[in-house]
Amino acid sequence: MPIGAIWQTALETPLINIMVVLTAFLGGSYGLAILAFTVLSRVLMFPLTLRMLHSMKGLQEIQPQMQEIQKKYTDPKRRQEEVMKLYREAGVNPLGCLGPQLIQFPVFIALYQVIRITLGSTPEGVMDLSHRLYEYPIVQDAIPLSSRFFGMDLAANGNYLLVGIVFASMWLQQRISTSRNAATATSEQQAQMNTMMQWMMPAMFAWFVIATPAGVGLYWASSTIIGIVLQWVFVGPGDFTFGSLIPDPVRERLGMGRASHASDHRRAAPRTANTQHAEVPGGDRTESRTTDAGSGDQRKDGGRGNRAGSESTGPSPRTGRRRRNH
Amino acid sequence: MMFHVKHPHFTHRVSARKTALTGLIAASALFAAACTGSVTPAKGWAPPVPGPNGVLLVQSGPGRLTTTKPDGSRLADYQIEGITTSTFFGLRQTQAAPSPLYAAPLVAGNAVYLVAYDGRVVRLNLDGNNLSQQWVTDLGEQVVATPVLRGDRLYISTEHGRLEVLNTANGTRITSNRPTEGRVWGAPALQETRIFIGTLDSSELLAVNADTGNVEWKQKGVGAAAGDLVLEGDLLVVPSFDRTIHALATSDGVERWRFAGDGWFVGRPLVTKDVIYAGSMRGSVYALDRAGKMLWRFQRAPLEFRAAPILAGDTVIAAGRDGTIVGLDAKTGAEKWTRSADSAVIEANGVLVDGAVYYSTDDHRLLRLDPAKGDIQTFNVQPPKGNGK
Repeated sequence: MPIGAIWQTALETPLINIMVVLTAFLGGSYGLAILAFTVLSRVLMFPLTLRMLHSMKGLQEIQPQMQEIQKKYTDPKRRQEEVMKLYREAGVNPLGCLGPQLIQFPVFIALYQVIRITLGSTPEGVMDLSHRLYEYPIVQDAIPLSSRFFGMDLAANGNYLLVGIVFASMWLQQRISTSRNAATATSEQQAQMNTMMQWMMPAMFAWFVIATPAGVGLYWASSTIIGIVLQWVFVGPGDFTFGSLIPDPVRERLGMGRASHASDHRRAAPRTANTQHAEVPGGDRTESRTTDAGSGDQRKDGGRGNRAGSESTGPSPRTGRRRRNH
Repeated sequence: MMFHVKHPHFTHRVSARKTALTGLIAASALFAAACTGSVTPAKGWAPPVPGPNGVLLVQSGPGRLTTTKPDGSRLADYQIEGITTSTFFGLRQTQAAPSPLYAAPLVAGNAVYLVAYDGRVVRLNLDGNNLSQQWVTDLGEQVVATPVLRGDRLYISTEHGRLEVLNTANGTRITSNRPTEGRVWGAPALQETRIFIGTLDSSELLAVNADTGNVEWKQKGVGAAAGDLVLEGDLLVVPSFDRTIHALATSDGVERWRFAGDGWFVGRPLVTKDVIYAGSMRGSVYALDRAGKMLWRFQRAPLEFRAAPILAGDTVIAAGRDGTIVGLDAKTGAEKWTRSADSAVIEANGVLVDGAVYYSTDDHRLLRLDPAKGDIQTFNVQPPKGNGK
């Protein structure tokens, strides 16, 4: 069986019918069907997502030992072995975070095709739907589907509202993730990579949203927002605070001090592992915890921004959620 | 000892690499399959139409009209130039490209009206073997439905529900209004001063005053009417995506009867004095009496009958989208013959001219069929390369 046929039979055709049924149940609204599909797919992927979140949490919790290994072993090979050993002992899989992302990607591609097929960009395309639909009346009677949703044409490319939402939500998600991973960034190079990812990933997906039908953008935007909520609920926001979104010049003008960007911590982390102070670029020596305090966003546990310092004092870092429960 | 310690690590690494590689290859193959699969491009399903002096007007390429003799020999060509706008990774590109014809060419004497998918309307003059352009008007909206001619007015329903009225003498716009928000794909039907329009999206059928453009009545609940409407006396026969043939009174739109079939009805029903023939996209051909009661049914899955049935003598001819053509006994529905046109996709209606049935395929070949035996001749009516006009 050719790979194209496998793709069609196993993923594309079922997805076409699922979308048509959802549309029929949701009053003929294809936009609502996409949102419902997003929620359904996130529910189905929830076990994987939970595993991913646990992996993130686990990585966070073994951070003190990681720091020890970084300091203790200078030989990269030996260091790597020790890190792997630590992962095994802690039952943490650093690649565990990739599962839901990898599964989402084929769904994303299939949905792209399904939206183009179901919304019938050409008259022949609508006719072709005839042999892609299952023989249930609810499916057969739902065609043709309306592509209008809150003033958007879900079949049309380049919806800039969705581009903005996708970029902002993905940036926020990356920001929360990188703030959490700040302490796990073991080198300057990795810190730079995290910073790059924080901008590159949203930019890349924003570009996808420009290039694909608005329906795909709607799926990605809603899926990302659900991801943020799940991350916030099950792992916590890391050292992310909404106050940190205010640009430094504005903060300084308001007398709030500079924000403690995750990247700043990462850069400072190797050098400040045993101190209470982190050096921020530009030469300012600033205690991280005062930053959030200045903005009124200090957490009850205080100063998770300077994780490197607090980690070295003994207690392993825990999630924001747990801390809030103290 | 060393061996026992290292070996599992080595094995683990190799198997992990193998798994990762296999996963990567599988993912790449699926990705490639997903990206190469695409939606069928617009090709147009304008049917062949008989013209004056025994010629046939055939779409021989996207937006190209060719006149041929019944033996398939080409006489003249005309190409509608169009502009297509495409988007490639967010970049909008506009280029000159021919736009296909979905609407059937409309012939009135020596005048031929063409409406391209991109909304360009052309009047041609068929003088002997020559096709000469009289005027061109750009409606600015896509058109699938065949227009309707009434006196010196051309009524064109667009994909955005607009009804455009053009002066046939010079192509100028007389009126333009939007009686419906739904797409119009089926040819409207004209009865004196009323134009009946079926819509694809809003499941409604409208009667519009041809002089004023006012909507006289609207009838909901007829499903998505994608096929051509057929007028027979005071009855309007509507094929619909709701797997039903609806028959409405032309006076007020009240439904007289309905017939539920097994699949979408897209092709124009064939209405004769006593019998209505209709093909479904689930491989059925139905014969109904004038009250909507089924007389017989022919069924062959997985055929999809998109084209309208044709009655030639006592044979009903139905063409499947995959190029399979069946001849049925008009009285009983019994199969007389089945033929297959090699690798042809038949979306367009056929036409009966001088005892032979003609179909055009999606790759713009012309098929000539003998209704008695089902024998098929295939003609290539495309002009040689570089001679598009």
